[in-house]
Amino acid sequence: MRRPREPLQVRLAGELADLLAAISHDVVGSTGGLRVLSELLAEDVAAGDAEESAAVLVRGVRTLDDRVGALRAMHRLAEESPAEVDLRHVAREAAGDAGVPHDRVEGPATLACVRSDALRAAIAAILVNAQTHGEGVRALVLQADDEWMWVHVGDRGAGIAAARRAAVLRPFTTYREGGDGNGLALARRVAHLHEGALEIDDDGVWLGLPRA
Amino acid sequence: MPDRPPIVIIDDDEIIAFLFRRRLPQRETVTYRDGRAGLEALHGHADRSEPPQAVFVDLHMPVMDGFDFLDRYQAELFARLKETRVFVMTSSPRDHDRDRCSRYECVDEFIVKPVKTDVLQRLLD
Repeated sequence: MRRPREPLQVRLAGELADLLAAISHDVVGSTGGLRVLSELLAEDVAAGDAEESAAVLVRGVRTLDDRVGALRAMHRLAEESPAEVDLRHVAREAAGDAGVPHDRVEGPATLACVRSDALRAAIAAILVNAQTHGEGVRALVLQADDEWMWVHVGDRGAGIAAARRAAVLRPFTTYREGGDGNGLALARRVAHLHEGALEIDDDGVWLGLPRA
Repeated sequence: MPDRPPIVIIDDDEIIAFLFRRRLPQRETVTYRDGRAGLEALHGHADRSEPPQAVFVDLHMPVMDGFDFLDRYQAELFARLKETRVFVMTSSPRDHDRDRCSRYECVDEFIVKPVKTDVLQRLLD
């Protein structure tokens, strides 16, 4: 049975480094441009021609607000209390959320004490990633032994390139136009909330949860 | 618009592109939202023997990020666009990124966003 490649402390340190990088670049970093733009807007208002700079500023503030909201939503995942549920049931609900047929879920009924809403959102995010970036879901499989449970999602495409596997776990990082770049970052956050792991390899994405 | 080589900006941040346009009103600025689109456009410049004066490229973008862009630019375009200067932009100046950029022969300078007017004038002079 599969085991995490790295110890929990290393996994958490990697997530923290990625979160700080995202906050630095995509939140704090964008405020510099907004400040300069707001000064420019004041000049444009005085000159009586502020329509374009105002529109750009409004879009920029909305983008920043969306990013802050995404980070707050990730933080709030921890507020849910764990409860015992059937992991297969959670996976089926997540499949429905992602537009994947319920009967695609393979594997036994597996009782686990988890934050089911957060886990459902995490599995759905992985499935949506496979649907939109990986040419569709090839496999949605549950595996479990006495120590670990894994949700495996394989896609029909070439998978996530090895050179990009670390980067796609960082919030706001996407290699596709139109994506928010948060799906796999959210899935990793949920895995780590359960002291689990989120791993990517040639077969796809693996979300692992310890049974203890 | 004066007949001078254009300035190419590769960044998905609309604000940065807008600030470039406003700070360089006498120059032609062309913006691309990701590295792949920028790379394709620069191939066109090379094919037409019309090198831009400068390329300002962000590191963090969708589709093709700044480092993937620099890998391709160095291999495919650097020798063909010898007159074009390449500046890497980032809003989070990490030493790791700066060190990595310094390994590219095609990169002239690593600068912090938003680029100030006096810095921009210095780079383009």
